[in-house]
Amino acid sequence: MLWDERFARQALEAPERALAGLDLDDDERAAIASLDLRAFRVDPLRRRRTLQALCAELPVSVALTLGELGRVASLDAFFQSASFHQAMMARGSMFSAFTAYLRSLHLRCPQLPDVLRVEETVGVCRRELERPAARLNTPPPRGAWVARAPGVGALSVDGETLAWMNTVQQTLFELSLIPAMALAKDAPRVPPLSAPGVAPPRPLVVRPEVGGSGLLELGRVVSEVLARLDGPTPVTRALGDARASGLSPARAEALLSDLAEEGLILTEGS
Amino acid sequence: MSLSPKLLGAPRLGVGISCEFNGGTRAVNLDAVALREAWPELIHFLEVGADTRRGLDAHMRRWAALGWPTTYHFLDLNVAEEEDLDPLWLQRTQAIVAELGAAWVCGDAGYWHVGAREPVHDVLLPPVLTRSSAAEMARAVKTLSAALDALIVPENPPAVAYVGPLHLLDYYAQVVSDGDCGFLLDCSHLAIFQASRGLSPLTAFDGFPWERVVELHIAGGRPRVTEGLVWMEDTHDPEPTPEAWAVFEAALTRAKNLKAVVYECEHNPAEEVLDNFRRLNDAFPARG
Repeated sequence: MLWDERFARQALEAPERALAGLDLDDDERAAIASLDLRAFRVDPLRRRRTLQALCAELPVSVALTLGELGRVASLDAFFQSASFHQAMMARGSMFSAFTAYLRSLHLRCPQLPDVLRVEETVGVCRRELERPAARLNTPPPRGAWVARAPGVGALSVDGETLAWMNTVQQTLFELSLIPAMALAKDAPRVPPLSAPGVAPPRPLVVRPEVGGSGLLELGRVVSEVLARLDGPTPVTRALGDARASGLSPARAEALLSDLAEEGLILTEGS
Repeated sequence: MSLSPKLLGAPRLGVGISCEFNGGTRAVNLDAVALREAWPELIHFLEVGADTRRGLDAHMRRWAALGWPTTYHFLDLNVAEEEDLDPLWLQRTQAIVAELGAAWVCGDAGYWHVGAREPVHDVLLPPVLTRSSAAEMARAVKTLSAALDALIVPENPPAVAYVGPLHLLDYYAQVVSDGDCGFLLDCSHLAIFQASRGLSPLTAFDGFPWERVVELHIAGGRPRVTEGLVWMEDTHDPEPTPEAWAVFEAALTRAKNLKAVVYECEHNPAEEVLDNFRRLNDAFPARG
């Protein structure tokens, strides 16, 4: 209700329908319906500040989105979207809901999917450092196991992804020098980006804790092994996966040992 | 119910000042250490407002390193939700409290975030004022007290609007009695609540367990109007409203176990808050 006035109005006018599905009794619905709609308007910049925080973590994805749609209203519509409301109703993540919303727009920009995956993974890893990661909450297997440490991610993206991100960030930096430039017809614009699918895929390890972009290039095998260790995984299976990526048994064992030493994986019982 | 040894044994701290993370980077900010050195007879402790995401800043650490008294005010726990007390938060809060040597742990008892604890989710909302919500908060307070082995002192948060049929004081009466904890009465927040319901500042004072009030807050606010809706913003301006002072004076006479008073005025020039520090020290001397 704080972010979506249309929903707030519905909750006040027809609470049974608007609040259906929520664990509320009649008294609680009546209490909500008795609120003054004006109380939700005392902070007219709430949505903008929230968008500011979301966009700060997804700057390139948002720039590509705005570049295609050309309307800030397309971002503002997030607060009326199903992904936003589902996240709010189910104690979910507004950040994850925003990335889901951007995907739901089904934009044509071919660079967006991989850029969004990178920025999303960085954001998810940041969150894992603040509260227990849900992916680690599954019951551990019997015996020795390993899992990717909280705050560590791994993915493989188009080989040009980081170049696209650098190009867009350079334009955003220029705009940040004189924000009023955005109002001008000859404001800096993102130049055409190279086409995807030309360069070979690029494996990345994400670790915001190290600072900077939080993106590390540790090679294909490391990235593949880490990507498979979402939850607690038996050591035997992890070793098998490493061998499937082309390592000898001895090098597979050495790799897990190195990853543990670097704090990239958790180990238990080994 | 009798009072816990943690509450009865809590030290009398006197009058203090509050601070929040990186407050020193704002245009006007009181340096608590300098203020205490200048007015040792007026500033007795620092209430450190922080969260586990950012931890303590240099200003807070400087005060703590001097061994001066502190309390810890969390800015990132939904006391209204038991599930918000996750092990990582407890571990980090315990470390902060230990570093500060905080006399107790307090904080606005409601919602500091919507949903899970995430950067974009930050808000400050009061609890839903119902019996079942108060019961859940009381359980959370007990769990927190056991986990941190500390006196927990929930505070009534400010709001433009409150949801639920209970009076704020009736709600927190249940929380502090069932939770066997202290209470931090923010006089300005209570005055805001009373005004929002068209009540006099001292409504519902009778029957409140005043023996559990260990701390009072007071601060200035500014009246605002939004489309004809009159409301009070908790701006921490120098001069509290007459209604907030009325709550303060009435609470002072009732709170027999009062240990501390915080004047929330950290973003004002020192000369504009001196008189009120004197007034508060006259009302609540450090050595009572």
